[in-house]
Formats: sequence, C-alpha cells, structure tokens
Amino acid sequence: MAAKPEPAPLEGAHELVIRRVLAAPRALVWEVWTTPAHVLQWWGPHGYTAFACTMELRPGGRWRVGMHSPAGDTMWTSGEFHEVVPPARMVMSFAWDDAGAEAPMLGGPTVVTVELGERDGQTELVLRQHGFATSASRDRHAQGWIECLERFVILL
Amino acid sequence: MTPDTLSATFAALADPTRRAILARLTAGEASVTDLARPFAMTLPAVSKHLRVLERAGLVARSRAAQSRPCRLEAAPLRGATAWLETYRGFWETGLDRMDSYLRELQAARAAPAAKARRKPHGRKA
Repeated sequence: MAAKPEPAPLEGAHELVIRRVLAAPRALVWEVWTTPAHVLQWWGPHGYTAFACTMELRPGGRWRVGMHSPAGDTMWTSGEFHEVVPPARMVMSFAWDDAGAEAPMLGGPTVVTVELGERDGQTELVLRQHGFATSASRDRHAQGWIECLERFVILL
Repeated sequence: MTPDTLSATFAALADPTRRAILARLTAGEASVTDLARPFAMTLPAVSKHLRVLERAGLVARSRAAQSRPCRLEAAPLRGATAWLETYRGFWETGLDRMDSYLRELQAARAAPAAKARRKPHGRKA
C-alpha cells in the first residue's frame, strides 16, 4: 500500500497549543495577566473591549472578565484558578457565562494552562486549552454513581 | 454541534492510539484486525478504543460484511477543528494586544515619572 502522509490536523486535534515570545520580563507578563487593570487592556477576541475584571488569585479563587462585542452585546468569561505559581504557571477553568447564539461554537467549560519561561529578559509563553473539561468531570461523577450503585447491589 | 458533542469528540481525541486509528481510517475503511496490526495491542483493546470513537460519532461500522469494516465520520472532526480555530483566534488576538501593551508599559515605566503620568496607558485601536 502506498504510504500516505498522516494528516496534520489530527496530531494537534485534541488540544489548542499557542506559543509566544513576549519582549518583556516574566514578572511583568505575570503582572499583566493577573492584575485586573492590566487585563482590561488586552483580553478578548478581535473587536471586543473588556470593561470589567475580577481576579481572586489563589487556588480555588474565581476570575471573571466582561466584554462588549462589536455589536454592543455584553459577554462574560469566567472560571476558577486551579493552580497559581507566580511567575511561572497557572491553571484555570474557562467558560462563557452566556455565549448566546455563539454557544455551540464556543463549547462547554474548558481548562487553560499558562506557562511562562524566562530567557534573556524575554518571556516564552505556552498556553494550552483542552476542550473536554466537562466530559472529564462528568466521567468522574459517573464513576462515583456507578460505585454507589455497585455497593447498593451488593447490599441487596 | 452541541457543547456535549464537542466534549465527547475531544475526550475521544485525547488518546494517541485513537488519533492514530482515525489517521489510518482517513486512508479508507478498515476491519478491526487491520486496525490492530500496527499497534502492539490485542483485538479487545482495539475494540475498546473503537467503541469510544463510535460513541463520539467519529467512527461508524458497517453491518454489510462479516468483518464489519470501520469508516471515519468527518463531521465531529470538523466541529473540533472549528472550535480550535475559534479559540486560536481568541488567544492570538489577546496576545497581540498584550505584546503591544507590554511595550507601552515598559516605555512608560522607563520614562520619568512626570511623563508617565501625562500619558496614561490605553489600548491601541
């Protein structure tokens, strides 16, 4: 059989990975990512303007950013910090509170990991986003229920 | 494409063996035996992966032949790709703005304090 090249999309099909080199020290990039006044300056898709931001920067703390769309709609992104390791790493859940008509495209809650590495005064940023946070937590819930049912069956 | 469908698609794609099975199926239909051959896996192990892919709607199995050949269903993959591109756009735009803002911020902080006060930082259009 003729060797077919493996289609490129499948290799990274399960997660989003974005790498960037930013011309700033790591401590400053961390500050700009985690301070509400700074977040308002950069957060959001093309044409959107962030107008509100709260961050409880600790594991278990909540974050929330409000944006105005180009059409004038208000949209919110929010989540919870799972890991906060300044100035190197954060893991957070990410969801749209009410994405309206765009909800099917934006999907359910996800997990975003941001890692900052320093090299010669610049910052290497690696962002990963997994598209299946709900499924994983749902599976854990399901497993819990199955175990409960199994115990129940044994009791019978 | 609902959020739950997307979650199921990504959960199925998270495993490298399942991605390799899908990659093989882009070349055409294959039986479970064919699919198991490149992997050091038993048929039941491959069947288990196939069931996950079937549940996620990424693979369909024909009932026409005894071997019940598997084929790729492209729609969920297209949904997953669209999702990835949406979020790539979301973050790339934000990081472009962050990059400009970091430059402004460093320039402002390097400048004398009086100058920095006259020119508050603002978002570039």
